[in-house]
Amino acid sequence: MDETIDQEVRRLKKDLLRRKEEIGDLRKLVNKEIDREFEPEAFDLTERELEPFIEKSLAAVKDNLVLKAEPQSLTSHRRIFGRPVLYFKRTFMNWVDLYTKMILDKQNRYNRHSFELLKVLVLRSRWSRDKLKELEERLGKCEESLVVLINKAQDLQARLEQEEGSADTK
Amino acid sequence: MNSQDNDRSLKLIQDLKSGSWPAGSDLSLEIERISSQEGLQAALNVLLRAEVVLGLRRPTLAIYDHAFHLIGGAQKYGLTLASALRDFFDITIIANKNIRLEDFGRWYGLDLAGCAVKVIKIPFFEDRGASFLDPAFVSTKVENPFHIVSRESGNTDVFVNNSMNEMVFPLSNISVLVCHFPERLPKGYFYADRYTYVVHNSRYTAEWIERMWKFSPHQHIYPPVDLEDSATVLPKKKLILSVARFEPEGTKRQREMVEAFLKLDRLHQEIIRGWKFILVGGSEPNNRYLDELNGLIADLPRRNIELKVNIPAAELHNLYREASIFWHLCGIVHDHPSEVEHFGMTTVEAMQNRAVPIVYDGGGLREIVEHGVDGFRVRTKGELLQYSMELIRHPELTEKLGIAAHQKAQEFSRVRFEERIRTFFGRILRDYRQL
Repeated sequence: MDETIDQEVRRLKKDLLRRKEEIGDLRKLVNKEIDREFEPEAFDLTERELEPFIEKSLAAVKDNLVLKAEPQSLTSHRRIFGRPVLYFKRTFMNWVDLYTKMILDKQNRYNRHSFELLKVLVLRSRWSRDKLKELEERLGKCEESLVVLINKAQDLQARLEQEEGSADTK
Repeated sequence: MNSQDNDRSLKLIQDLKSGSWPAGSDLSLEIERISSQEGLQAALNVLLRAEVVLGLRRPTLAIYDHAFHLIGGAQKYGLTLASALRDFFDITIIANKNIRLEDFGRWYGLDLAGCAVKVIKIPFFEDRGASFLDPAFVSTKVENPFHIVSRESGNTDVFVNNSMNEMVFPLSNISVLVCHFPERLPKGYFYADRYTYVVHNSRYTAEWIERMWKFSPHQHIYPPVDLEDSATVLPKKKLILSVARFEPEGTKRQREMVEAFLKLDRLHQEIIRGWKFILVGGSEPNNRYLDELNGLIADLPRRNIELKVNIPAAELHNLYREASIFWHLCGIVHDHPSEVEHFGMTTVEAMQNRAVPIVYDGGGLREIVEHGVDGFRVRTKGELLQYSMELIRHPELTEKLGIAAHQKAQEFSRVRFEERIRTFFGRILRDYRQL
């Protein structure tokens, strides 16, 4: 092996290690972005993560419940015709607003109903879950007692048969 | 590094190795080109690999765990891995809190002579006085505090991240993430998929890596369990044993087991006459869950349930040797897959000592216990009682299953673990050396 190559490799490595110390940002060290955005997929959530997700989602839906048409500010760059153009535009938009407001009102009513329904369904699922949990516990306890008592009965029966057997032989 | 640049870097190392590097060519210019195009780390990685290929030094491996200062099964996994690879690599153990090699020797009985320990303290956690460095405390609103370890990973040939912490970005030529369980969904500072290889400790863990992280891990290596004693086999006693940490959240389900035994004691005393249930585990001081358990058994007239906390290893081993039955219900109640046993090292320890396991039918325990062959798997406390009574009634069945359990446990021995580790890393090292 060429000794100068060995020495060169070692020297260059030492130099890079020194320069690495001077670079604070990891991204600069690898010349690229290393972090990404992740959006949780609802179907990947575990049972533990469901409640916080439901709470967060309900709050977000509530915040965006009412749709309101944003009034658009109208300006014109025309010096002479600007005012009449704006006048016609406003008239036209007021006329169109009659229809859009009607549709938006309908949408808002639908949203409110859907949201109320969603809340009730969440409430019902919580009640059902609690009831199911309670039933599971009761059922579990019954099963445990049943298992032990069946075994006890079998033991008693075996003992009885044994006693009867020994009485017969006497 | 894209494939074209990778090819050029490999060609460079090949030329250096074969002596066909053109005389008079400036190596530093080529390294500088890589540095400016791919980043300084890529250039450093070329030189690191060149050193190994040219035989200028032994390859290096750094293994990191943010919980190396605490005793645990995952940490034992990582350190046994280090111990097994000492012939292959110069090894550095990276911890975030003060720790010495002697501590590891005392805790796990491992020979780590020749390994170095490097403690990298993380200011984010030091400032908060945290004894456990919980990655869950780190949000993207702060700079990633684990990047101090990421930087260190780039100074070695192989970097092994043994911790349940995917916030370390690997910079080394070869990186291995040992995943003991994917506890969180991918979100800020998630780099698990940036590792060259992901090793998983059980098929259960692999299944959840696929579900939560959306990729398949590369290598399955069961943890090492080495509580088998070649000394004389002790005669079995009428003892049911449970070994698990007394987690303050009660996730190991000791309360459920105590309740089951109490029911047996209340409804069918005759069958468990002479039997004892001992629960062993580690605990932090002021553990409310432990207080609750003590409360449950406080008024027992026969004193046939006992809690043993933080007992010495020798005492635990004796209990394993004496126990006829082993109970483990971790997972029987859970709302997150991490609350189910990912593997179940204590179950294997019990099996190595011929105790018949009755365990929850879920998680990694399914891979250890074959129902009816070397133990029983149960879904409810009722089933736990059913199979326990069967074993209590039929000592010959207990003995038969105990022998089968012992045989099965060989599959998870430390010897087997070391074989698998050496095969896996041996292959990696061969490819690394041979280009």
